[in-house]
Amino acid sequence: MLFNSLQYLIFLPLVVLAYWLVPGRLRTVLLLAASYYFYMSWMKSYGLLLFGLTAINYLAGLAIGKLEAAQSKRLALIAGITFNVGVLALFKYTNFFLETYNSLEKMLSSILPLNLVPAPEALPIILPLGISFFVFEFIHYLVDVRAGNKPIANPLRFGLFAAFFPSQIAGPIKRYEDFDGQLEKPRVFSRAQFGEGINLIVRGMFKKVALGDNLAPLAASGFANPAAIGTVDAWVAVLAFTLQIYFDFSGYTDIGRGSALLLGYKLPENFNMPYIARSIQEFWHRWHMSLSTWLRDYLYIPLGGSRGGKFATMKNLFITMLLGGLWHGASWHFVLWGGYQGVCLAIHRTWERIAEGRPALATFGNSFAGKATAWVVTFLTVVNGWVLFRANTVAEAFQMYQSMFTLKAGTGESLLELLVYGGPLPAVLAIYAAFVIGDKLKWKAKLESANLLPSPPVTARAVALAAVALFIASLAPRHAVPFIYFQF
Amino acid sequence: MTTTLREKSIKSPTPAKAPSRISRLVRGLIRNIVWCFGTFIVSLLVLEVALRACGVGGEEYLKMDPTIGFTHLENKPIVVRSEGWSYDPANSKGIRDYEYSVTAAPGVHRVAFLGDSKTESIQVPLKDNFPKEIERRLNAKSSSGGRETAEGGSNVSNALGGKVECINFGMSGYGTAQEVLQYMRDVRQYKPEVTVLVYHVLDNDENTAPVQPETFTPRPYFSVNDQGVLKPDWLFLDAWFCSERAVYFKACDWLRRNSYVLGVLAQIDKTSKGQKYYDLYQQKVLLPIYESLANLVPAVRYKPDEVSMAQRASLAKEFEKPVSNFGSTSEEQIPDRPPGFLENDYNVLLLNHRLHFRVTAALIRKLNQVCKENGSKLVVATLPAPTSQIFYFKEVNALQQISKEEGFDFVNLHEAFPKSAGGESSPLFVGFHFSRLGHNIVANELTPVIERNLKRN
Repeated sequence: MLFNSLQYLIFLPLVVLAYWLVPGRLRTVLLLAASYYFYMSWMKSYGLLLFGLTAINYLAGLAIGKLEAAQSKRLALIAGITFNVGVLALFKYTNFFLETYNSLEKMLSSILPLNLVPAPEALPIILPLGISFFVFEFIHYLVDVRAGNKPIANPLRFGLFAAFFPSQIAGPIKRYEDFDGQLEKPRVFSRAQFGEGINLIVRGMFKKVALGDNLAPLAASGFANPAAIGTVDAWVAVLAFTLQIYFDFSGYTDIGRGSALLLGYKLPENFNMPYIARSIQEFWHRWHMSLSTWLRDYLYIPLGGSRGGKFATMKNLFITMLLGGLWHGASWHFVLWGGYQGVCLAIHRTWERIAEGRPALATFGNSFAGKATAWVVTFLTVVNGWVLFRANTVAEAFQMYQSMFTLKAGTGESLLELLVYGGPLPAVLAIYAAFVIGDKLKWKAKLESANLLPSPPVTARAVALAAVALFIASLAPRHAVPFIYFQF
Repeated sequence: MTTTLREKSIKSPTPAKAPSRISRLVRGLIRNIVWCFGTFIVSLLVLEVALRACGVGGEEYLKMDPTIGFTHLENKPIVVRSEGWSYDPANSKGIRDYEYSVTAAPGVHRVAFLGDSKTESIQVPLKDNFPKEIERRLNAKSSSGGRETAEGGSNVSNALGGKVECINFGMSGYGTAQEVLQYMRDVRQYKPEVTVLVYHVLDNDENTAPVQPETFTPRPYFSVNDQGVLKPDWLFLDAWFCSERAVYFKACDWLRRNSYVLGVLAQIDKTSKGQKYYDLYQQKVLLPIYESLANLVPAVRYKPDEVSMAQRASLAKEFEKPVSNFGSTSEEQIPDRPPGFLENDYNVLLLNHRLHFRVTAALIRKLNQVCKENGSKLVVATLPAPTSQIFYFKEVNALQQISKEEGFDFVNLHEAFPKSAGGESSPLFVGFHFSRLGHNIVANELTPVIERNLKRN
């Protein structure tokens, strides 16, 4: 079920209504049932997979919690992680490994007198939605329980932690202490929280439907044939994807967080205006924050973090981001993207060290020109990274780089013209910018404090909400565009 | 000590009566209603402004026309986002083109294009459709030697000794019958020197009354007798004007012209219903019309306004004279039965095709005759089509013969398009219509033919 589908717009109000009507003790059961319905509406049989994974991790958590000996705990943790990673590898990476093996086998057989057995071409495996996200949540759970935190004893609560529909498919990657802490306390209906939830859903829908989905054709058109497009169009396509992936993913997160708020739950923030970052490190503190912190806590630090000197830190950063890239997708261009991020982070570290002992550099860095330069360099670094991320293959990514960095004219439709004249994008981006600026300048709070903001009754708010919903619906492309992060 | 009444009232005021529950409820209700109404009006206005700013909601751009069937709403932007893109408005005359005065400036050469959606070309911006491309090319030729120049501004004097204006009268869904009526009613007053009729694969079936309700479209149909006299028939159109759809069109006329919110709602209704939308249209609008006509119900209550009645009468009168060369061998083309066709099925198709093409051929002869009377030269261009359309290619051959008999130019555009083209994957098409590249190919083929037919000043 897509968040931007009519199905979800019927499902969510029904669940919210039922949730607040049923007695408190039944709410977890209701949410669990709703979450499984949500998941199984896509593919029924994979509901069993989610259930199986949940059951095994629940038992593993209890076992780790109960075991006394550190060695036994460690072994149980290793078994748990191996199981989770194994399931992820089976569903997500089997065909990637087969393809890579077959390519290598072909290449080696052509140059060496080897008689390697070719692997099957590809297996008919359908990637379960959200598996990358809930496997990361399970690993975090097992590691934290092994570290001494209390496991979740109530199977229903654990089940809901794993399956909670607002964060089920594409995160944010939850921390179980935080989520279970909320489950423990009785949920009390708060009008302010409910309003905030609606606001987040509307904002998310606007980002996804009005912005992300209208940027999608520009990016798709450019990346469909990167060798044939001109320099200007190559930049238009790449910048369109840069914005699309942000609006798509942060829009999804907003809808998820808003949906959770309607039920009285708070999900972690995932984005904090990432494109204003002035360093790649800051970018990763602002982009997909729940993944960044997960990678930091469960990969980078266990690898040694920054404790082993300059080279070890860079190596750890590189490995963390390389694996982060592979987590995004079973394809070499994702691995390369992860590696690219690792290298950029390592370069940033080195630059920081160089700047440390040079006050002139620090002064420049704090000046307007220094800040502007840092922003431009960071933004271009991120944008160039998205080429590797979005391209269908590594070869096509390099074709795109060639189109971006060699001056040439294109042969097809002008993407720049399509951007400017071909749809509602310029006006929609202006509306979005006005809201962002308004948020930054705290217009709402200022109007409220000056008693200039009216306080209409709920019915009037509903009328205004219907108008906003109609506006967003009118901006939707004719065909629904699935969320980018669903594929991961 | 005496106290005044006023003082008394101040000292011992009677306690104010607390409002009753009912009065509180009524006040609350009134407050809610006022707020809702106010919010509704403000939201509607803000929404209209926002939709206009974003250029969405302009999907309602057709109006019914008692003489020709349907045309564009005047001055209404035509927004296309699903198949290509464009948002150029129709002009004040309901033509999807720039504003043109009926009388051309001295020395200006005019070319008129008649056709269906492939000529109308709302899938590309107005400036990129083939009539505009042809106009640019003709104007870009310098008077010195007719060479192409880099900048082809419309004021550049060309080899013809004057500016060229190509006016696109194309309209989605039109058949030849409507195009001929359109020429006679609207186009000829613009005095085009050349009239290009762009003929398309479905045109032949759109000129004669449909046999099945699902193929019915509200438009005038024609029949032709053995003497070659064409007879327009507005009965189906009048029946449509009695339908509930027509009632909706009439009731919402102002909103359809002015409201983008209505455009969005109509589009959402259409998109959300999908195929059901068309099924409902057939069931609720077309079937009753068809049944009433089949039962010869004299209750087609619709009476067009006086202007339309006069237009119909005047047009019908012009058709009273038989068309020239009617019944020559051109109309008798019999395509061979292709393998895979059952004989009976093929015979039914063949019969329909022949009946329809008798009318189509007569209409084109009539158009040529009217063009001549108006001092205009006719050019017929046939569009590319999938090779499976066997009857269409017979029509193309027949039209070529008719062009020789009648003495007008004929261009078969099918030959200019690569044989693989015609589907969505082709760069020459967006969906079922031409992309800019496709329009360029059409312009390549038509420009020299049109140039040849234009008078030198």
